Amino acid sequence: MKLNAIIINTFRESVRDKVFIAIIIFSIITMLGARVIKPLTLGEEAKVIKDIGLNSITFFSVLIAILVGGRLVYKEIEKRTIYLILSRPVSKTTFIIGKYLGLLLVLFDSILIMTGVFYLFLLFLRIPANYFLVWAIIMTFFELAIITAIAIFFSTFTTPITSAIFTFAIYFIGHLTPDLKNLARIAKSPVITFMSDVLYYLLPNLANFNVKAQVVHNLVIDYRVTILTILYGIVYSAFIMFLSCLIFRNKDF
Amino acid sequence: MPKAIYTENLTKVYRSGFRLQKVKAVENLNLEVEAQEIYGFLGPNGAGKTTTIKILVGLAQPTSGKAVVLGRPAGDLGTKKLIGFLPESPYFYEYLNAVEYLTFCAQLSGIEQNRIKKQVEKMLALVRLDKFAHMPIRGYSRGMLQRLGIAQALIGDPELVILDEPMGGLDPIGRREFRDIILALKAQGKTVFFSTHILADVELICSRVGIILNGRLINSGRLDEILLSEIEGFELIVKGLDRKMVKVIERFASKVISSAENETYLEVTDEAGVERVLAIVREVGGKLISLQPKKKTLEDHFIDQIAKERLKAI
Ligand SMILES: Nc1ncnc2c1ncn2[C@@H]1O[C@H](COP(=O)(O)OP(=O)(O)OP(=O)(O)O)[C@@H](O)[C@H]1O
Ligand SMILES: [Mg+2]
Repeated sequence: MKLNAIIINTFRESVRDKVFIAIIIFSIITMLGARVIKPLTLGEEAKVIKDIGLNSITFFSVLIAILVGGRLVYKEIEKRTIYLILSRPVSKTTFIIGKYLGLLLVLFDSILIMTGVFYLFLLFLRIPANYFLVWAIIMTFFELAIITAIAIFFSTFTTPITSAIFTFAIYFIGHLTPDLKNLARIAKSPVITFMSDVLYYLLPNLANFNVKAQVVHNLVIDYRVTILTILYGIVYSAFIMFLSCLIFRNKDF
Repeated sequence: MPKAIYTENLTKVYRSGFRLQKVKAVENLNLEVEAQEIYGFLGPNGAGKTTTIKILVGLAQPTSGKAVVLGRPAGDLGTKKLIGFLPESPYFYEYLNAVEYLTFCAQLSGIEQNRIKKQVEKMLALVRLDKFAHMPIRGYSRGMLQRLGIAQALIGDPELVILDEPMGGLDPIGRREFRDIILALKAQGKTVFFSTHILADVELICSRVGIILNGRLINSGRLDEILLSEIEGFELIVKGLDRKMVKVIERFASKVISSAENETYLEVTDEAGVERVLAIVREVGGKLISLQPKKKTLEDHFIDQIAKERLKAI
């Protein structure tokens, strides 16, 4: 009930925020814009449009997660609206989890809208669309769960800009984790091996969440790996949220 | 009945600035607020009022010492359920309207779903915001925000209401309405604890006050006691004295306020002085028009105390 109230309020906050609406509109424009480059697609139009569609859904939802997520908690502290939540019988954990789930709800809905537009667009262009594409989007959602958790984690102790930069860096490196593993294997220096190993296990392994290429090229998806990846996403997010709660619990306002 | 608020050696040290210097925002504060009283918490800017209040409502942890609210540890969820709180210059979600905001507050306070709508309407009527109930808070004036703040503090019928500078931003009519609300709360058996620098508000409604300066409680008690304990002298108006006699009694006066048309208005510091002046007046057939103890106003008291503390500090 209290958790619900915070989730819904966070949802309202984002939906009534102009930045959020602008991002959604941009994503739709980008998807539709894929049509313009038709002459460059060399007969691979369907694949290119699917590719651009999926990537813009990912890109813009990651943007929402990082930008909105990094401001979410900070803003409540900065504007002191948090006083009127935490002076009520609401624990700091409920607050933070509510904020997190609220943003996930926002992301879920934005992905739903963007995916809807995407499918309509494919329908309009008479490009056959299978449910495969949805798998890629579902995976993106669980990746977003991790990114949002990280953005909120940073926003419990830094400014939105710092949080955004750090989260973006982690997002970026997180997609390179297979390379880190390789680096650890081939590096001559034990220090580098150690460092890349530490990074490999510490940073989220986001590369696994990206099945867009497989999906677009109608390659087989290994569902076992997919399910494991989703589970990994849930566990990793939960762990980060746990850390955020620990930090937040000892905070004075 | 347990005390509404009880603190023992409550201390809060902040570390701030580049070199993490210690700032003692509250130092060994011992507060006792009885149930069902209206308690004024007075102090100048930076005295530590807000810090104390934050500890009482669970927004900050004390560095040391103890804070008990309604017989329970301050900051516990069970304790917070019984408290209404208004922070200083409160800020609300601008994208909501008053109904949405108060509903949100009611949900967080754990009010049963089926009572929420009624509670919200009642609060809006109480602070006269019903006409603006559906206007986004973004468009509210300073005074309207303060009213909304009072409404959210009182929602759910809290046992103890803690208000940090509740009169800030209110016009004279708003202040008066606020005083009426506070007095109504007292009549319902609630406890009200509020901080302010505005002394007139305290003089009118508080049963007891505490004065805080530099994080320490420098005085507390019933308002009339604090003021009575410091009779500064007496003011006399006497009549029917000739110029020579006026000169004589003026020697006993600490100050001659006016002396005209054989009526003399003077101040005498102690009772012995008063006795002498009266004796002389009686002897020469003069008349005593008025004799009044001169009390300090709270304002004077306040300034004196602060001056004393500052002197000590030097
Ligand atoms: N978060 C903080 N970090 C560092 N110092 C702080 C913090 N909060 C308060 N202080 C310091 O503690 C002291 C008391 O501040 P507090 O806000 O409690 O005063 P106040 O009595 O409420 O003043 P005012 O009437 O201006 O609201 C001040 O010196 C202030 O600078
Ligand atoms: Mg203050």
